Amino acid sequence: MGRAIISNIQNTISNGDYVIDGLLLASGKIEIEIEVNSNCDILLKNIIDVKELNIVINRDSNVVLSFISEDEMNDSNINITVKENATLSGYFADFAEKTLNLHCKVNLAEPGASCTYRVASLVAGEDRKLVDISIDHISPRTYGKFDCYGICKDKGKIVVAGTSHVFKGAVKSKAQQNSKIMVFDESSDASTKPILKIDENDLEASHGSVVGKINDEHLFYLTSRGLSEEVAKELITWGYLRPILDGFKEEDVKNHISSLIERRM
Amino acid sequence: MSTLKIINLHASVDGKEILKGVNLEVSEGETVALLGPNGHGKSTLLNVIMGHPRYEVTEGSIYFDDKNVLELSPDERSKLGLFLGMQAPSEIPGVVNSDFLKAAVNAHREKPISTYNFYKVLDAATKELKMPFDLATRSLNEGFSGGEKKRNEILQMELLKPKLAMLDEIDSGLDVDAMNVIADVINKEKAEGHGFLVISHYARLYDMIHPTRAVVIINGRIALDGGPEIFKRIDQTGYEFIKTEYGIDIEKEDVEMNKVSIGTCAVKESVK
Ligand SMILES: Nc1ncnc2c1ncn2[C@@H]1O[C@H](COP(=O)(O)OP(=O)(O)O)[C@@H](O)[C@H]1O
Ligand SMILES: [Mg+2]
Repeated sequence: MGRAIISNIQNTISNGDYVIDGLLLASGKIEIEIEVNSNCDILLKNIIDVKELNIVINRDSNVVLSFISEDEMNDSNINITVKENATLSGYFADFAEKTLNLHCKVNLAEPGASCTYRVASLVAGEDRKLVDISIDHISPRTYGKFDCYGICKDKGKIVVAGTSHVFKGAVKSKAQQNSKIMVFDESSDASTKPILKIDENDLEASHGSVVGKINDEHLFYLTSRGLSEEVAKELITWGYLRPILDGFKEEDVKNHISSLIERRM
Repeated sequence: MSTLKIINLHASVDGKEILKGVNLEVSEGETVALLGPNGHGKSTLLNVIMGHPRYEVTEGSIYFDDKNVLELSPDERSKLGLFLGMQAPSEIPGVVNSDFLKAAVNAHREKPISTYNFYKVLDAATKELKMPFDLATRSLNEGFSGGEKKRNEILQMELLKPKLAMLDEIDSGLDVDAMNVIADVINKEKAEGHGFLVISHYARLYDMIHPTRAVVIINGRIALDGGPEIFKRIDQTGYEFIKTEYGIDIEKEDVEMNKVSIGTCAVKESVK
């Protein structure tokens, strides 16, 4: 049941589960091409220095790409091209204690290409994070969805930038963005920059973005049943970040991510 | 015996005074029906007793077990034996109901309960309340029907065994079967000597749990405090007699204004 290891600079893969383990990489640049009509699950872990990751998902393929950030990690650029009727499901679990810029650009290049990208991020203390996801809708009937759930506390700073660009001719496309960031205290700072660039009339687009304090109604509900404010906040944080675990298959990976969250609560 | 003592309580929300001098005593073994027209401060009173942060107490005091309740945080009030079953329980995304219930149970114990024992207790309680066990594994109140939320409130009361449970319209949205189930749990707790302060608009629940007293709150004050015959009379004739017999003018809730503002917001939402 183990995952096949990807460690070359250039790779062509088909059906299967793969891992890109930063500890086994020779170079900061990786290219992966997914063959037509494949189902792939790719896990990125121990990523320290991947300056550039380029992925091409060919026609009719479905790819799950799950990514865990690490404390030693440097800034990363991910570029993904999604071809005809192919799908990308991206999950980024970002609980590293680190100042970090993550840039991810998804190109929905051919008709029917689809992408859902989910990010969960926690910033605290000295962390300054930029999560920058941009999705280009080039072709008709493309679907792009970006969700970001963030917790910002103890002087942390986060900027979530989501750009959806629907090009002329990308008719019947659908672009969605949703960011929710919970700010625990006055010293922390979070902002979202949702951008919708629309060059086409025949489409559906929506974005919602909320940056706010922890819901005092929720806090009251939990504390009125005897939970201390601290425990209540932990439960709420946990509930907020937990859904990202759905993007990770193995129990030990889920446990690892859980411990990354827990150590910072 | 534990007694809740409320003395000259004034409380406001957003600078508007809602409670205007409430005096009330409830002893541990009592079951008190709390009545009053809509918008006159019933829920506010219970929320203030439990320590909701949005309500500001401007005057007066609350004691339970001779402890000054107003100095305590909501979790300390809970540990003292107070419980509020809410009119509109929060939906909290991602928080697993059983994790929350276990944390609540543990908050009331010296030593944490073992997972095995917790599930045994939870299993028995959900069966008693005729709740599907999967409600325990779902996100707290998220996507629960109105009735499921109310049962989940009673489930928490059952697990925490408060000395005084305050139940705010716990029966609204319940069918007769569900009401029977909840009344059984309340009656069982009553038999153990626990006290209740129960808001309901329906005589049906009161007929099942037999309050020993009825208290009517009007214009933010206790207007009547007496025997169970009061809620029977209100059920049959409404609140009119309080005006004619006691000379208390019943202020109308500014429902109209609320409706207008909700309407305007809704329009704004849909335009966006
Ligand atoms: N959280 C709140 N924010 C603003 N107004 C409130 C809030 N809670 C209660 N009120 C106002 O206080 C008054 C009394 O409300 P409430 O105590 O809920 O009445 P009841 O439970 O008797 O129907 C109403 O006018 C209501 O609009
Ligand atoms: Mg009410």
